[in-house]
Amino acid sequence: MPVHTNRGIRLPQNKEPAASRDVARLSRVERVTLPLSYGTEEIRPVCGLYETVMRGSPLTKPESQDELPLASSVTGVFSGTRVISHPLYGELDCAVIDVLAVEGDEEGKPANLDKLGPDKLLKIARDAGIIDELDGIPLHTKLSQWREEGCDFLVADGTQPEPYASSAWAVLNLSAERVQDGLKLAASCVGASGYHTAVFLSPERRRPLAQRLGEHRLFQVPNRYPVTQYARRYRTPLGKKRADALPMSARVCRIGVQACLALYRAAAYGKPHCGAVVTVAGDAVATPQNLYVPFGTPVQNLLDHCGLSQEPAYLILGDMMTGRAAESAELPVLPGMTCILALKVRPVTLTPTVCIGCGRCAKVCHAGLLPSEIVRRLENMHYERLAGLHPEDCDGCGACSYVCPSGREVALRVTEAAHAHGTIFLDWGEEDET
Amino acid sequence: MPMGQYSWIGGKRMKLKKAEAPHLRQTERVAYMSLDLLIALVPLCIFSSIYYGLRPVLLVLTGLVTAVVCELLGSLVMRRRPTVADGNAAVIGGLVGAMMSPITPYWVPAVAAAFAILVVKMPFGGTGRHVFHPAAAALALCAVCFPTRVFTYPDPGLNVPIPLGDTAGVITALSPAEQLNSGAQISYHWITLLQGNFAGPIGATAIAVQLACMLYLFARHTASPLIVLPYLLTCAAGAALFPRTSGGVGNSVLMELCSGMLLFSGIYLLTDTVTAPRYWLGRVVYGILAGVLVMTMRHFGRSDQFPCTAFFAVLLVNALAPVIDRWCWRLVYTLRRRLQERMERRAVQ
Repeated sequence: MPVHTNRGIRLPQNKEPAASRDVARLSRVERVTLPLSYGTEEIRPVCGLYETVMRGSPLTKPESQDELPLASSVTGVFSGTRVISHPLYGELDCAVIDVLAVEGDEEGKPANLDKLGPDKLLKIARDAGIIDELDGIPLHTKLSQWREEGCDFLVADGTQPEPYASSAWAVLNLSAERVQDGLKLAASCVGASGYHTAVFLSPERRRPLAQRLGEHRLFQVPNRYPVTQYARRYRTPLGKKRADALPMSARVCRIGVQACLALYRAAAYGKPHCGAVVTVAGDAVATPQNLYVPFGTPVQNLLDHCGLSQEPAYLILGDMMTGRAAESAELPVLPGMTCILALKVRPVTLTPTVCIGCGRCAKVCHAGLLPSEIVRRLENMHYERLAGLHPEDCDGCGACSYVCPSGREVALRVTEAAHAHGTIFLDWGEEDET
Repeated sequence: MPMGQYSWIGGKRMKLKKAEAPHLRQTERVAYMSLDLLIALVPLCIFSSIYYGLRPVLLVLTGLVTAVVCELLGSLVMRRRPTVADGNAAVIGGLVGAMMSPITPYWVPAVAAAFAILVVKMPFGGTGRHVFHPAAAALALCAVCFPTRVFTYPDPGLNVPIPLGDTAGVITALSPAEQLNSGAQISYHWITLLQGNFAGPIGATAIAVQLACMLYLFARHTASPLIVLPYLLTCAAGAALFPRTSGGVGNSVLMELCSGMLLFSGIYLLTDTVTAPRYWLGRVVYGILAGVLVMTMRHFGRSDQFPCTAFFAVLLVNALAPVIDRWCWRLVYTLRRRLQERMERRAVQ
C-alpha cells in the first residue's frame, strides 16, 4: 500500500535486534584519527611528535573564543598528521594517535549543578568540546545563539525516525535521568520556559521511560518522516486549546540526547566529550548492536567488532535516508555520526525513468516545495528561474526520492539546485580520465 | 593499512560502491500506476459486455493493441529505448477504446489510438512529456472527423448481443446527453443510471461501476481526489444553478453528471498525472476550471454536432495546467512565508 502521507512518509522500522542488545564497548582500538579543525583554516597541533597525550587533553589551541578546542579521545602517543576526505565533513587535517588506553568511566562525586550560570555553562560546553550529534555543530555555538535570539522550549531529540538507528534509544535506556539533567542545564542556559525529551518508541518501551522521566517530560512524535513536530502545539482557531500545548509562535529548539548527556557529564564530573554511541547495522552485519566508541576510531574496527556475515557492497555513514556512502572503512567515527550501515544490497533499486508528474514529491515535501518543477528547470538548464522556486529551503530529508515511482534522484537534484544560486555550472565528470 | 578505495574483510580487500542518499525507496513504480488504470477499465468492459456482448471488449482491445504497436513503432523510428513496459501506451489505447460507441467500426479506435500515440504523445517526447492528454485529443479528432460513427449509440434495452461484424441493423437510441442538448424533458430512474442501462459510450455508462473504480484509484493514490471532487462539485453546481431540464434541481444535477462523458473524463482523463498539475491547490483549481468549461460548453457549445464535450474541456485545461500549478504554488508559498514572519515577529515581541 502507498506509504506517503501529506508532508511526510511512513518508513519501515528495522531497529531490531540492535535496539534490544546492550551497549557494548569496543574491545580493541589501536589507532584513532582526530580532526584538528572542522574549518578550512590550518591549525598546528600543540603536542610534539611521539609525545604522550592524555584523554581529554587539547590537541589544538584555537585562536578565537568561538572555535572549539579539539581534545584527544584516548590516551596515546601522537604519531603524526594526515589529511583525510570525509563524506560528512570534506577535507580534514587530522592527528593520528596510537592508543595506549581507552579509559573507563570511573566517576567521582558529582559537582553541585544548581549554581551554574549561563556563561559558566557555555564555557563548560566549549571546554568539554561538545558537538551536537544532530547536526555536527558545537553545542556552545547553538546555545549562545539561542540565548541571544530567544528560545521558548528546548527539546532533547531522541527520535531517530529512520529505519536502523537506535543509538538515541540506547543512550536514553542507560541514562535517561542524566540526559534530562543535561537538558535542564541547557534549558536554564538559554532561558527556555520548558523542556522535554522527544522520542519515537513503541508503547512497551515508552511507558517505563515515561515513568523514569515523568509523563509530561516525554513526548512521542507522530509516525512520520521527517519529524517536524517536536512539541505539542495548539492550533488556532479551529483546534482545541490544551493546557500543555505551546502557542504556534513559540520557538522550539532541539539538541541531541548524546549532547545533553555530554553536557551533564562535563558539568557534574568535568569529563570531556570523547566518544559516542553508534548503531552498527545492515544486512551484511552479523551482530547488529550499539557500540560506545571513542571519536576517531576507524569504522573498520566497529565492523570487526560486530562481524560481517557477508561482504558489504555499500558502507553508509548515517542512516538509510540521509546517510552518505563511504568508499573506505578506514574513515574515523566523528561527532555527528550515530549510525553506520554495511549493506550487501540497497533494498529497492529502480532504473530511473522520466518524471510522470504524479506530484508525490510535492505532497510529501515538508518544506512545501515543488521538487519536480525544480528538477525540470535544472535539467532544462533554466538556472536563472530556479531561485523563484526556493530550493534553498530543502533540508535534504530524501522523502521525495523515496516516494518517486520513476526512481529519480529528486533530493540530490534539489540539493544541487540549492547550491547553484542562479549561476550556471557544468559538471565535467568526476575524475580526469587520462 | 593503506588509506584509499579499498577496505579489508578477513584479510581480503573489499570493494565499496558509491551511492546517493536515500538508500531506501518504496516499491511503487510507474508501471503499477498504469496497471491500476487498466484494472479500473476492466469492470467497465465487463459491464458493457453484459448489455452489448463481446463487441465492446474487442473495441477496447483494438485500441489498446494499436496503441502498444504504435508506441513500439514510434520508439523504433525515433531510435529510443521502447517504453511500452511503463504501460502508458496501453492505458491510452484502452481509454480511447472505452470512449467509443459499442457499434463503432473497429478501424475507428485503431485510427484514434494511432493518432494519440504517433501525433499527440511521441513527437512531444513520449511518456511524461506530452502536453495534451493523447486519449482526449484522439477523441476530439474522432468527434471532428467522424461524429456519426462515434456518437451513435445502440439501445441497451433490447438486450441482444450486437453482432461482432456488420452493425447496420442495430437499433440505436438517443443518449441522455443528446436528449438534454435537444431540450427534451428527460428523467431516468437513479437505479437505471447506476446500472448503466441507457445509451452511451462503452465505458461511460455504468455510473456505479465508474464510482467504484474511482474509489479504487483514490485508494491506490493513482487518481487524485483533489482534481475529481472539485470538478464534479463544480459541474453539479452548474447543473443546479442553470438547469436544462425540468424535474427540479436534483433531476438536473443527476442527469448532467450521468450523461455524456462527464464522469468518465473526470476520473480517467483529468487525473492523468502527466498533464495535470502537481501541487494540491493547482489540482483543485484545475478541477474547478475543467468543470466550468464543461458546463459552459454544454450550455453555449455546438451541442447539435458534439453531444459530448468533456474531452474538449480536458484539452483546454491541459494547456493551462503548468501555469495554474506554478501560480498556485507561489500563492501558497508567499502566504505561508508571511504567516511565518508574523509569528516570528510576535515571538520577538
